[in-house]
Amino acid sequence: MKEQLLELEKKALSDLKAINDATELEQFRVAYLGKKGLITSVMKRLGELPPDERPEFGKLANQVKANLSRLLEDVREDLLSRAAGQKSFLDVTLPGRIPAYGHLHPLTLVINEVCRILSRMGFKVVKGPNVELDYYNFEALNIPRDHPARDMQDTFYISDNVVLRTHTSPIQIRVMETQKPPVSIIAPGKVYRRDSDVSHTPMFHQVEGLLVDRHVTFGDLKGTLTGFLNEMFGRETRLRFRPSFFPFTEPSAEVDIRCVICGGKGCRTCSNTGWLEILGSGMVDPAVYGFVDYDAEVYSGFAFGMGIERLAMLKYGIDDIQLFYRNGMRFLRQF
Amino acid sequence: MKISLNWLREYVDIDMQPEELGRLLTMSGLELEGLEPSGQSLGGIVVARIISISPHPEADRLSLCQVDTGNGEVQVVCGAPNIFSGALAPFAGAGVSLPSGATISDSKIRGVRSQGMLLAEDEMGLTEDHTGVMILPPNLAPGTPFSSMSSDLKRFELADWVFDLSITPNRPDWTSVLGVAREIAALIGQRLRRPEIIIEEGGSHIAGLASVSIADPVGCPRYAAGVIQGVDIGPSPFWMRRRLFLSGIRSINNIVDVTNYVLLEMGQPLHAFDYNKLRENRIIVRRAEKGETFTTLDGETRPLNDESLMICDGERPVALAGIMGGLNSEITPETQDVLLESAFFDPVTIRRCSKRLGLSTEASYRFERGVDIEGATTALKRAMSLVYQLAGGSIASGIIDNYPRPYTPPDIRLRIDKINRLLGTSLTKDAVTGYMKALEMDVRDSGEDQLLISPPSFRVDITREADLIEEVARVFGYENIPVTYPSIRPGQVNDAPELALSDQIRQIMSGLGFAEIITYSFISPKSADMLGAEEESPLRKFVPILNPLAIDQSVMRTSLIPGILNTVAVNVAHYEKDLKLFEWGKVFFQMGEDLQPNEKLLLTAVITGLAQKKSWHCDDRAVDFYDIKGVLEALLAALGLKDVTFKREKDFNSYDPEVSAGVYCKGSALGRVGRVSSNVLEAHGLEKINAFLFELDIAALLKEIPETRRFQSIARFPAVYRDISLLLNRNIESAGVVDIIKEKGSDLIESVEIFDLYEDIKSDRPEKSLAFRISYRSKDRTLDGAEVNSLHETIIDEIKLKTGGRLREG
Repeated sequence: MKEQLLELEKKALSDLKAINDATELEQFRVAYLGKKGLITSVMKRLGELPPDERPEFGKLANQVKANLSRLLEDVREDLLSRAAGQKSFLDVTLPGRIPAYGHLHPLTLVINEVCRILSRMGFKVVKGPNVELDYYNFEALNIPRDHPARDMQDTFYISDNVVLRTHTSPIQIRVMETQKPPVSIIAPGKVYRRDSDVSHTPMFHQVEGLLVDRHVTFGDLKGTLTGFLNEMFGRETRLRFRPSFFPFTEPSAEVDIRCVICGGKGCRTCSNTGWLEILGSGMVDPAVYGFVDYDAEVYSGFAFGMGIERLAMLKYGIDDIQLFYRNGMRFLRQF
Repeated sequence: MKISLNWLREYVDIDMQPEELGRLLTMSGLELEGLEPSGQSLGGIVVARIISISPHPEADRLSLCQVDTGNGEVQVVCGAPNIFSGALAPFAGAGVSLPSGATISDSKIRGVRSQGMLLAEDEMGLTEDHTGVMILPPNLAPGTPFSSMSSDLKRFELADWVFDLSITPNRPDWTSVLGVAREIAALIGQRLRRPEIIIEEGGSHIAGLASVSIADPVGCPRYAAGVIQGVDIGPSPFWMRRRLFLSGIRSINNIVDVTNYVLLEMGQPLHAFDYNKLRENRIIVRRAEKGETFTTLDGETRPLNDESLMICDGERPVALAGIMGGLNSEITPETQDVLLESAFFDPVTIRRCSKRLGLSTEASYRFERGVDIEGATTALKRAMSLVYQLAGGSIASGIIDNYPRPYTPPDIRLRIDKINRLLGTSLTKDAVTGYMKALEMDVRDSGEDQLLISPPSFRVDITREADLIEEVARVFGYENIPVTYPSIRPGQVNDAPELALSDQIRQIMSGLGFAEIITYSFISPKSADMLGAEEESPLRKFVPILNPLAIDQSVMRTSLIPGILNTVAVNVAHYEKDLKLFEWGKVFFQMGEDLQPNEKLLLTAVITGLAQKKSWHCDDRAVDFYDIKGVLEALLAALGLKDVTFKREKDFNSYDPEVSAGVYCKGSALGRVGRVSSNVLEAHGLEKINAFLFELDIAALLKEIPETRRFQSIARFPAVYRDISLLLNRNIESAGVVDIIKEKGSDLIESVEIFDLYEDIKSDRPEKSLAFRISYRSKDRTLDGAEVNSLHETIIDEIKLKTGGRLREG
């Protein structure tokens, strides 16, 4: 019976080669593979074999049948394309079945980058409340209630003693209050100022940094921020440190980078100065240590803070700060 | 603060370009915010003489002037009231462009030819004066270029630069031209020239004219005054008006202008009283009484309280100390005798009062930062000399100087080692001494490694060693401090617990096709109504902002849904309807007045429009509940959560009660998922949109995420698959059936998949068909077919028994 089957297969293969059109192909299919076809009828006789030979024959018969079916389909396709006068064509330019992919907000991307760079240097990422006590947002940062420095930040008040934090700096106090040096932290987050115009939004993002230990110097501040900005904006980025004032640092330094738009020649973005103000920094003021009970004779440290929107605008060339909070897809899709 | 370069040059020799000076100031902490030329585009304007004046035939207010331009005679129509024949004035002929951009042409004015224009000061951008043409000194030759006439007349120097400097609150000594000149002198090693003070006392002695008593020496530690009698009130000369103009101050009259001029010049606010309006010729400095009111110069009547510091005469308040004078004693054109005040007021007192009244002035700005208490009388004398120079009169001999709390300079220890340890420098004692002296500090040697420093009285910011170290750094130059890299030692602080999760969730959500949005933390108080929140809902536990910018930003959000739906609306308006958005952010719940709210982190996601858009390989398919649920399941599975269950829920705010569920993990609630109710969509202007949401409580989620994942050894024995096709009552949930399978099959059930669902909604039989594929597998052996079959039968029986369902035939 096995021989019979193999003979049948041989004949079928040669018959298949002779087929010229779809009618002949259908006749072939019925003759060999149909319900009453030749192969089928051989297979039906399986019961005539001794039981120990049955599995082997069954397997073989199935193989023959599958093989013939496959070849039959090949011939069918061949006939079809011959009929159309051409070979089947794969259009590789047709769009694939694209799975949906999403987008992270550009502010998230920049915060992530800032945190990644600084985390590698050894800073830990910490968080704090958005709605903050006056004490943490101002008093303990050496900004007394009746001090003109309060005018530097227009504040949203919840009550006399509760404010929307105007900077991420209160996190410095919250960390130092509970931890002894060494402390090395960065704190990204939302901050709020009562200011809304073409270049300001009442909510924006900052990342704060703080390092306190024995023997931390202003030189270390310069080194850390130079390293950070070189990673953020490229090795060639020139920067300058210039004196400024923040109530919770002394000496205080504003850090500028060479304008990334004009390369220092002067343009609208840098108000023709060739420099871009990128972050504020300084050595922690001893008055702040007083609030957290650190010994200013033993420890020293530096703090810095930067606005994320500004970094993102420079990095991606975004010219309108409002876009960040409108969340239009035509904006978000670009990131 | 705006400062004229010419004015600065009066006190220090500056031999550099304005841009270079700007850079120098910026690098010393006086940030240059703007630099504008003034009086520099006056080319073509010449000095001309009015030869004769006749009336304009058609217009009463205009005159016809014959003008000698030095280059021939021309006819000019002029409307200025101050012209006279013989007067010299700046003239622009046809073709000359003015700083405003306008170009003069030879034209007809009311039918009469006018060959140019005689110019007023404002037309040349010199001052704001437009009372008449600018009358020039008589000794100039017609035809002299206007811009160069200053070579002879120093006080007419026109070409100037205006520096706009940002003054940090710690440096009140920089709020004056002299203060900035002093800084420049120190930076470039030049000598500072002080303003000229020439007093010719000719009047009666001050003691007989006025007296000052200070009832509140805390609020007013020094009050000096002088009197000038018989002054002529009138306009100030051009040079003074020009400088005031460049500094942004309006010219009033020669007396008031002098007080403003000296304020700008020396940083000492002054006030001029009409001496004859001061009853009893007395000044008393005291706090106001509760309920008192006072009308300031600007005509506003202001309520006072017992904190307000007042300058009073014998009977009543005459000035709001350090902020603004009173209407009742102001200088008027009729004023004859003037009392000048030069005082020091307590910064906190002035600031509180100014804040409370919402009244900030040039004077209060300086007092609240701290003026030079020792400089009060110098400024007074400078003002008296200028009044005399500008308005004549006779200066009373002597001044009053009531100084109950004289200044004593602090002695501050400065350790060289401390400087070098903080800055990372190796400065010597000599170098530091030099820096201190350049800043007019008094330096004394105080042992091997330290100095004793007394800052000058105008440096109110210097009280501690740290303040001096900053000055050392500043003068040494930040750029000269060597760059070093700290070795950061690990401390006790760890990364915030949600940090890794926030990264992971953002990555997963964006991988699942969602775009991240960031919306404001403050929203409209109406949002709770818009979300359909009931009276007691936590959504109403708003934290209100006392001073919001707008009503729709006046409370802290209690839900991320308003922000996300508003974002949907913004996008739909731009024909972006198929949206997948998420926001990770905080919500805030009121915990009581004067307390910080409870801040809670949420993740909220929305999906709208089409889940799949028609393309060459598929058709449109609208989003439905299973799209958002699927995303949530994928997210939770990716985070490693097991045993996540969903329970139908009818009472969630914002959600369609028929299409919403609670999400649980091992019994604890994680969040919600479902369709946004039609009312809520409508309230957000989205009635045509179908939107599905989920919300997750991050703190709850964090508790359920396994800290570490444990590896399960991979099954070595084959699985056996069996299907069950059931007819069940429509209301029976699939999860119930799966539970029965798992319970009955216990640890031999590897997984249960639902591979078919058929429901004929039109049929009156309340049945649906559900098909399950069970994978049986044992960890320790190959399952025997008979064993599986028998277990499978038991499971089927159990399902029939518990659900009332039956096997589907065929």
